[in-house]
Amino acid sequence: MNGLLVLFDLVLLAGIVGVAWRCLASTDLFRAVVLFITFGLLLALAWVRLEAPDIALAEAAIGAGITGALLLVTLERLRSIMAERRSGRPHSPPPDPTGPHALLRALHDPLPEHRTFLPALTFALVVGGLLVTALWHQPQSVGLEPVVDAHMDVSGVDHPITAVLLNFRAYDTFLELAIVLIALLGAWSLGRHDLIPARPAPGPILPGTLRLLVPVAVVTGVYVLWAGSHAPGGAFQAGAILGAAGILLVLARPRQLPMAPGGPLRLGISAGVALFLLVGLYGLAAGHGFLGYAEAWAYPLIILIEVAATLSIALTLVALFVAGRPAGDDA
Amino acid sequence: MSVFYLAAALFLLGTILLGLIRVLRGPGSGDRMLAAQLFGTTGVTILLLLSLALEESALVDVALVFALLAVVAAVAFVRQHGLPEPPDTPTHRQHPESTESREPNDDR
Repeated sequence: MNGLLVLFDLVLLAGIVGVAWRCLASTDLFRAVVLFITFGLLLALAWVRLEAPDIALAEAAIGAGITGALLLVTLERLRSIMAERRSGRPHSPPPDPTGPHALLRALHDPLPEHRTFLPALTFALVVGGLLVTALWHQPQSVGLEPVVDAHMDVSGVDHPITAVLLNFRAYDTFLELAIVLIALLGAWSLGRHDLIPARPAPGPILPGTLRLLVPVAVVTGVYVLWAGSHAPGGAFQAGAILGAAGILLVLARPRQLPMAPGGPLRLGISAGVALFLLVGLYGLAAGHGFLGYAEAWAYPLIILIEVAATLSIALTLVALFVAGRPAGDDA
Repeated sequence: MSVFYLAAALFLLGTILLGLIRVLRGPGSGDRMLAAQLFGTTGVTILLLLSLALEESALVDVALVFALLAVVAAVAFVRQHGLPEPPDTPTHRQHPESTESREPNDDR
């Protein structure tokens, strides 16, 4: 049994390293994308073996559901931009050195391989050496698990990870939500969205798949959110699943996307951070400290924050996939 | 019994690594994508086997999410690499309000 587990881990490790290497070394971008999807799958298995099912769940939702679709669509957008430039048509707007096309030009330039090889090798060796030294001298410690276990009764939930994320270290989660929001603001500041390139897919398979899958995905998302209070799950995972369902809908009819009205969309996207901040300030005023809860109120407040965060994360992921401010407001 | 489950999971992991040949060699993008989709199915089975072998029921949820969402990449692929676009389809620098074209599969 143990020998088999070790063998499984070794094969998994070899697979992860091999896939990562081929993914980075691939000159064919489509192949790199498919290898990255495979990498996500193997990584989820690795998280399972590291006994972190919460992260495996997040990796499954994001790696399987969102990154693959995002990278494929981005690749197609790149191709359409390249084709437009190659055909010699005047491209509007004219390329400016700081604009989004600077990155494209950088991709085009041949890499100065000979001059960068030695510095890159030195850098990799130094960083690798430092990492090995840091891991070598790791102090023997039991970690924070006993501390968390001792305080589970005041956390309001039954799952230690959720207790840490939304009670003991709520500050970290709050800032993570803020980062997701800032990422979207960054994407929106680049301008209004281009249409997602999509070819017709005639036949009953795509609409039928969506009709069956989207409701199941919504139910699964709500289930994972609910499970977060006593088992692996929670707002980020549920948000990623609901976001993937939204991306499916976007992919199904990109040309007639019913654009969400700006006001409610912005409200939904900022709901998680705003509610978290309000609860935190209330805790500060009531004497529990910033982001602290009264013991009796911990469970309902955590659920409230998680529901709002799930909504915000799902909306943000779909908005990031569509990329660009909603059409119709150029304020 | 858990030894059997683990051995089966190990075998399936081996098939994923073998299947990587198809991803690396292609030749078509369809071959590569289909291989990745089959990895997804294999991954679901590995997760279920591990959940039985390690007695961790939470892994069933991970398998459920994988089974559910592996289709998203497939739908994206079909939309990008499916039939060629009709010549008048707008693809770039257009906004929905200025777009009147309808797609044949969307009028349900």
